[in-house]
Amino acid sequence: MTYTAIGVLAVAIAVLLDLFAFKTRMVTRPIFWVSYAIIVFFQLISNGLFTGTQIVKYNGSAIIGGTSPADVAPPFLGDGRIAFAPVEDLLFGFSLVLLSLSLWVFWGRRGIDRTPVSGPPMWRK
Amino acid sequence: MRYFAVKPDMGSEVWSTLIIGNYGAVEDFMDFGRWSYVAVLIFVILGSIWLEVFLRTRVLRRPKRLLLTIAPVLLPFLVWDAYAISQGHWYFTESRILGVYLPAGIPLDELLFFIVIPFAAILTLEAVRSFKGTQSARWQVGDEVS
Repeated sequence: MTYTAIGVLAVAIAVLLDLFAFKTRMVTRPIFWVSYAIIVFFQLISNGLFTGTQIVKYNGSAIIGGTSPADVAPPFLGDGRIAFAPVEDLLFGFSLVLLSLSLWVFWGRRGIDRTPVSGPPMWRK
Repeated sequence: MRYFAVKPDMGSEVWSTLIIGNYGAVEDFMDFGRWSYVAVLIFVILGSIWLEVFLRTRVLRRPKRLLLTIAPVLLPFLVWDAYAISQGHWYFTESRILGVYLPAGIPLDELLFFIVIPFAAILTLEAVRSFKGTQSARWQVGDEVS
């Protein structure tokens, strides 16, 4: 299986677990999407550092785009890449983040470390 | 230190210049040798840990829940990582990772990644909850204390 195929599968599994196994329904909640919007912005930065500086490289036979060049940075945008990283990394990141947040909420709903709760921000009290 | 010009035909020249200025080349940007990978993780931690203080997210004060979340998610992703590495989907510049490997050739850096990223994600979720409050049903997730 390619990275592309595993990425799509991982997102599907994460969504199914969120909806039907953990029953946390994170994907239906505004709180999740607001959090994810913030997370994905920073993912593009850190991922860009990983791939732009060639700490991690990718094989063109596993992704939509081409193989990472040997000694220069891959394209910043285009050839199946965004912020140097393969677009597949968005699938990888989404499934990792959704599973983590879903499980975190799952345990909270089950009463595990429900407290101390978050907030309020320092400047409000 | 190498100073390659970023090849125009890679399409990244303009963007790279916008991001890192005239530093020279993307691959020399943030070069911390063997600590390069870990440096990015430290960047992620610094970018999110302040939420614990200023938004009072109190994630570290819920260690059992944190462990029960990170550990089970870590396992399937390490399996994925091991498979991807064995198939050559992705590979690492060995001079830029710690050089310590887990079974199946997984760099230790990757294990740290699967701890740091979920932690930062949870901090973000709890920061949004801190900011929005949990009074309104719209922002609830079902673990609220009434």
